[in-house]
Amino acid sequence: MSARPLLALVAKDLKVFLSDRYALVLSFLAPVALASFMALIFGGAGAAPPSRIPIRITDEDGSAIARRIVSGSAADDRLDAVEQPRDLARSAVRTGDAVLSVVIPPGFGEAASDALYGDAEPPELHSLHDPMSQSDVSLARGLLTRVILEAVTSEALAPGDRQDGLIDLLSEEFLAGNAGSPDSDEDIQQAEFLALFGEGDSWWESPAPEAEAGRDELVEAFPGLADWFEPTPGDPIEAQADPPGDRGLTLPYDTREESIAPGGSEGEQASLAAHAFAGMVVQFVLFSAVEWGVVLLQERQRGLWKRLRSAPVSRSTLMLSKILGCATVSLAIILSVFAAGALLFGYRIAGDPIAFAATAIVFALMASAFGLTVASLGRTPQGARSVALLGVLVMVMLGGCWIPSFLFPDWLQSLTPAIPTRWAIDGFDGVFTRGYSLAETLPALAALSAFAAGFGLFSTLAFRWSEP
Amino acid sequence: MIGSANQTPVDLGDLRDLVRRRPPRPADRPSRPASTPRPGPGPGSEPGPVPGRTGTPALEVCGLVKRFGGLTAVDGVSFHVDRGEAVALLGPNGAGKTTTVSMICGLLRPDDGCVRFDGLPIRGDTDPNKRLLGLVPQELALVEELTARENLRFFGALQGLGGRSLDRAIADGLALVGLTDRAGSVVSSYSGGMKRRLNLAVALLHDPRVILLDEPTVGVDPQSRNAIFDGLEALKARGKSLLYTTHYMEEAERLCDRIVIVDHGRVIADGSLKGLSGLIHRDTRLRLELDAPGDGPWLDRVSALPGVTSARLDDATLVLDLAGLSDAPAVLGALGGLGLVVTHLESERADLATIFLDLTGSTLRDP
Repeated sequence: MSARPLLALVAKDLKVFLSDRYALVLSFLAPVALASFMALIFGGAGAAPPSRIPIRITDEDGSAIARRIVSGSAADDRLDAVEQPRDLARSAVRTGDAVLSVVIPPGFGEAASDALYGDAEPPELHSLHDPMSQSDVSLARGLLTRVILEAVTSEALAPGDRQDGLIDLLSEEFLAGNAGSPDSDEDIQQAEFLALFGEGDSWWESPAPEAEAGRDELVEAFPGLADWFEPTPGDPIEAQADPPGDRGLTLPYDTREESIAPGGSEGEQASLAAHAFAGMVVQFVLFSAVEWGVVLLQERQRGLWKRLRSAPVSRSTLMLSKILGCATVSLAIILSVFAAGALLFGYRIAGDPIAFAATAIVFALMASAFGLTVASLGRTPQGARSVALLGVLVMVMLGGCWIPSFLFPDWLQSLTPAIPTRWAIDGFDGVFTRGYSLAETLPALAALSAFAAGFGLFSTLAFRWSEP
Repeated sequence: MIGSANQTPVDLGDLRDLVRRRPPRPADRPSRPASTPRPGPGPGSEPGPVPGRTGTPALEVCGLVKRFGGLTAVDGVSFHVDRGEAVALLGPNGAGKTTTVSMICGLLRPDDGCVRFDGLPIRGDTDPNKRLLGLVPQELALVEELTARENLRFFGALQGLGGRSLDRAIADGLALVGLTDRAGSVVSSYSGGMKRRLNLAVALLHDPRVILLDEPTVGVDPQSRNAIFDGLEALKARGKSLLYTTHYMEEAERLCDRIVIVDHGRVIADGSLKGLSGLIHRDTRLRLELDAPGDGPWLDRVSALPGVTSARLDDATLVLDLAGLSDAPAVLGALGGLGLVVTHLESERADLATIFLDLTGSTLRDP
């Protein structure tokens, strides 16, 4: 094989590649841009701290423990806790303004104190969460558990010194012979115990001489503590159903969980599937719209628009025909993909079907107008496709189609209202999961309509009717 | 031996016969409106009829002006196409021809001047008078994914046709361009020539008075070209008016009654082919190979001969431009009187390409 023709062929291909600046953008800049974006979200260098998790607390008890829970939640810098009446709090979760609401019912404080000692059944906290924000909800629950335990134990052990109080408690429990047989709430007791020292596991495991001496003193006084943290191999601990009053430290409350998704845990899974399908629908409808814009440029390039415009047909009619054609296809994609998802994963429209239809139609129109904008901005089909696909990828990421937007830093979340995909996702999540009525879908519909009008107007004014 | 227009050698005797058979010079001298364009009215105004003509032309272009920034692409272009007339619009690339065509089709809004069909101006995109025009764009403006019949139905609907009238128009169009048998095939399966023919049929669906053909035979095989020309001649015979732009001079010569040449955004010539020949002051060019012509004052004497418009010596070849082929025998006789011996002779009639080159100083394909 001769090297000269081979080199000439390779050189030609490289020259052609380098001559296409849009291909260069996609090949080199796009990966850097997308990777930087992901790194920004997941805590890369220089990333902003994650945003605080919005929750709602409803205090219907008013006890000192309840007030401590409210103030402790507000003081936690990872929580954006707002105290609200029950209805407002539930509404906030349903509309996505908060991921979790917790109701502290009347009598909670007193009952929790009693339950801590195992003297009474633990009271129930009422919790409502948003399944679309599972990670946030889990983190918020963990943080709230700490806050509640601190509040309950602090109040239960008052007025004496916290550590002295603990030792009193431990003395009572363990000297009574219960320390060696931890009950099923062992982990919680352990967490509570360590939390009281304010240093968590690090204190118990610290090699510092003072810590070691303290541990030895405690273990010597309460041998059962050693079993908590260092179970003897081959000597499994058997759980026992101790009667109330004979148990060690117990979790002083229970939680009654409720999701905004209909149908319990199955419904929650279905809602998550609906969310995933919404993300893909939004993404692929936009891809389809980009192709419509590209085809429009190809038709202009082929002289078809010259012939169309020589007919007694207005420009707005020509543009409208493209919007309607693209919207019809977009609508078909939306309906068929959601229908397939409903068959496969069992989700249903929880809200008003008219709200779903309106969201689908308005989003389809918005996507069509976006396709025309692509055609208006692009000089050639190839260039328009490259840049538009990059734009769509950025939009679907910022709109929360791939990853939940609550993972974004605050500043990034503040930008998402300017992204049409965010409103489309809001609308579809609203009708599938949050049970939105038509009125509740109006903000998303209004935003999508505004984007559609903006894109449409821009396209009509900026579209080049002749080849540049 | 002498050559004819296509350089085929002929005998001198044949030349004399040709001279005898040559028809008399046309009396109609062409107009040459080049240098000072007639100031046109505003886009919305309606100027009066073109002076010196009677009847309403099928297409009238009055003082069209189009500027792109500081560049004036079309600078007062005026011409007309009468009913049943075929007019070629020629010009080098960049002369303003495409811009003029775009304004006639309503694709571009003129800065000044007007376009009227049957005396009717076009007011806006949706003006029904646009149906008076059928456009055959240079590009294959077809939907390749559809069949020929579906294409015709689609474009017919855009022109407001429907029902039986559309069915009839489709059948007529397909028959005219010889595509009836392939009407159900998708256009992407067509040859280039078939697409060109369908491109023409689309423009005829709504039975327009004026048909604007923008290089309709680019890249087609001779058979398709002939089919297209047969169709165009049939249309002309039916009284349709054709405005034809092309780079093929022989097509313009074959089809068109009149030639309009634009250059630098202006009409520099407008007339019949014979009339345009008069603009370049020669009808025939003779190339005579001389036997040892030598230097001397004889060239001045040849230049001064009656019927000779110019004479120059190119090596041993004497190039003579004559006002008419009928002047050739006398000139040849005079050359013998000057002691010049002609060893070979070729004659060229001034064809459209020659005229164009003389008038514009470039060939049509020059950028």
